[in-house]
Amino acid sequence: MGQRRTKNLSLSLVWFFLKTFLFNPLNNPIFVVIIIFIIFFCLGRSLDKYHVALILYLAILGHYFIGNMFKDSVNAKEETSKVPIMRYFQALPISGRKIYFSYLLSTAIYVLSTYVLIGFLLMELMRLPDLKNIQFIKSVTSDGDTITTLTGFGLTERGIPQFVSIDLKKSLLFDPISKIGGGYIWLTLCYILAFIYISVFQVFKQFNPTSRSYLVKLFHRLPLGIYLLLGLAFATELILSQKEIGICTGFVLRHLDLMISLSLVIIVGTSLSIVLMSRSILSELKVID
Amino acid sequence: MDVEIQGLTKKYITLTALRNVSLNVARGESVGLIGSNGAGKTTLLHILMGFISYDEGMVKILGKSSAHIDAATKEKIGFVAEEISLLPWATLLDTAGLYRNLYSQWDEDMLARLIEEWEIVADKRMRSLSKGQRRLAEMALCFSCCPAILLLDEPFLGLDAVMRIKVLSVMREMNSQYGTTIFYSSHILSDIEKIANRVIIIRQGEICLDERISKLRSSVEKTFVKYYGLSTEERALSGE
Repeated sequence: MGQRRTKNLSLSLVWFFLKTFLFNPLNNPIFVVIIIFIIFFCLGRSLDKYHVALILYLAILGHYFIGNMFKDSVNAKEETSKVPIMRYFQALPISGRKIYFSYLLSTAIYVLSTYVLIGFLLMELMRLPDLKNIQFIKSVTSDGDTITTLTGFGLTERGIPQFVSIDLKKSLLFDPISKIGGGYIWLTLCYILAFIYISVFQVFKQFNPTSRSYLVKLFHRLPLGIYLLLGLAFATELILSQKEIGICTGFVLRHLDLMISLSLVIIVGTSLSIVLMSRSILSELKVID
Repeated sequence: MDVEIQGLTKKYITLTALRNVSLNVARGESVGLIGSNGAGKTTLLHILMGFISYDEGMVKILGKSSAHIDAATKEKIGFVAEEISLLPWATLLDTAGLYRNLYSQWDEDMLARLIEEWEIVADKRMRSLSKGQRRLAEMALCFSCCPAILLLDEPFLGLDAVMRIKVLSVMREMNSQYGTTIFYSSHILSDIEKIANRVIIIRQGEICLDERISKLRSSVEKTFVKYYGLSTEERALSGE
C-alpha cells in the first residue's frame, strides 16, 4: 500500500509540473511558440519571412518572461531557506530527492515531445514540392567550381505555383541526409548548439554569480540584441517599401534555413534554459534529504 | 509535547541569532511569539521546520528531530512563511490538486469554505494576485491540510483588519475544536492576545518572557489595582 502511494505521489508531481508549468501556454511562452510553429506548418507547409519574424519575436518574449520568472530564485543562493521555491518544496511531505527526480522526469517528457514534434515538422518542411519542367543547370564559377542548380516551377501542397531554384551543393535543406530524416539531425545540432550556449553562460555565471560583469550581460543579451536588430530591420522595410525586397528581407530570404535555424536555436535554447535554471534550484533538494 | 527545544543556539557568521533557547509546547496549546525585527523569531521557526541547521542544543517537533523530519511527520505540520512561498505559476486550485494527493488528511470542504469566506481568487496564478490574496491562499491551503501543528511566521502581514479577524477566528476554531497546536510569531500584540493562551517574548535571540496570557492579565490587573486603585470593570468604564 505504502509503495503504491509513493508511486502516486511521484506521478502527481510529474503531472503537476507538466500541467501547470511546462505545457501551460500561460507560463511557458515557448510552448505557445511551438503551437504557432505547428499552425504555420499545417497551413502552408512552409515558412515565409513574416512567419520567421513572428517566431523570432515570440522567442524573445519567451526568453524575457522565463528569465524573469526565475530571477529571484537564482539570485538568492546564500541559504536554501531564503529561496521561496525551495522552502515551498521542503515543507511538502515528500522527500526532496523524489521532487527532484519527478521534475527531471517531467522535463524529460517535455523536451522529448518538443524534440519529436519540431523534428517531424522540419521533415515536412524539407519535403520537395511537386516540380514541373525541372531543369538541371550546371554552371562554372570564376573559381572553377561547378554548381548544379535545380530550377523549375513547382506546386506546393496547397497547389500554389512556386518557382524553385535550389543550389543542390549548398542547400542544407535538400542535401541527401536531409531527405532521410535529416530534420532530426538538424534539430539535434540545434539542441547541441543551445546546450553549448547555455553551458558557457552557466560557466560565466559561476565566475560571477551576481551577473554584474559586462561580459555576462553581453553574453546573456546577445541573442536578444540580434533579434531586436533583425526585427527593426524587418519593420523598417515593411513600412518603407511594400514592393521591393530590401537588403534585410533579401538576406533572410536567401538564408531562410539559417534564420529558421537561429530561431530554433533560441526556442530550443530557452526551452532548455527553463529546465536547467529550475534544475539548478531544485538540485539543492537532493542534498537536503 | 509537540515542540521540544533545549539549549538551542544558532550562530551566523557575525551574529548569534539564538542563544540557549529552551521551550516546550504541549499538544493543543496556542503560543504566540513576540519580538522585534531581528530578534530570532523566523530563525526559530525555520529551525523547527528543518530549513536551517543549528549549532547547539536539541530541537524536536512532533517527537522527531527537526534535522530529520520524515514525510509522515511533515504531513502533520502546517507552515506559513513570512515571505509568501507558493509557486508563482500555479493557481490555488492547481496547488490544491497536488495537495489532495500529498496530504492524507486533506479537507476539501474546509478549502471550499475558506475560499468563499475569505473571498480568495482561486483560478488565477499566484504571481498575478495581490500580496494579501496570496497570503490568504497560502493559509487556506495550509489549514485545509488539517495539520496537527501550525507554525505561522507573521501570518497577518499584508492583511487588512477584517481579514485578520476572519483568519484569527478560523485559527481559534482549529485550536478549540480540533486541538491543533498553534505556534506563531507576530509583531502585533493584540493579535497574539486574541487566540494565544501563552506568550513568549524573544529579544536578541534570548527568551525574556514565557508566561500564560491569563497570568499576564492578572498581573496587569494587580498592577492597575496597586497603582491606580482601578478594577477591570472600572478600567473598562474609564476607557483604559
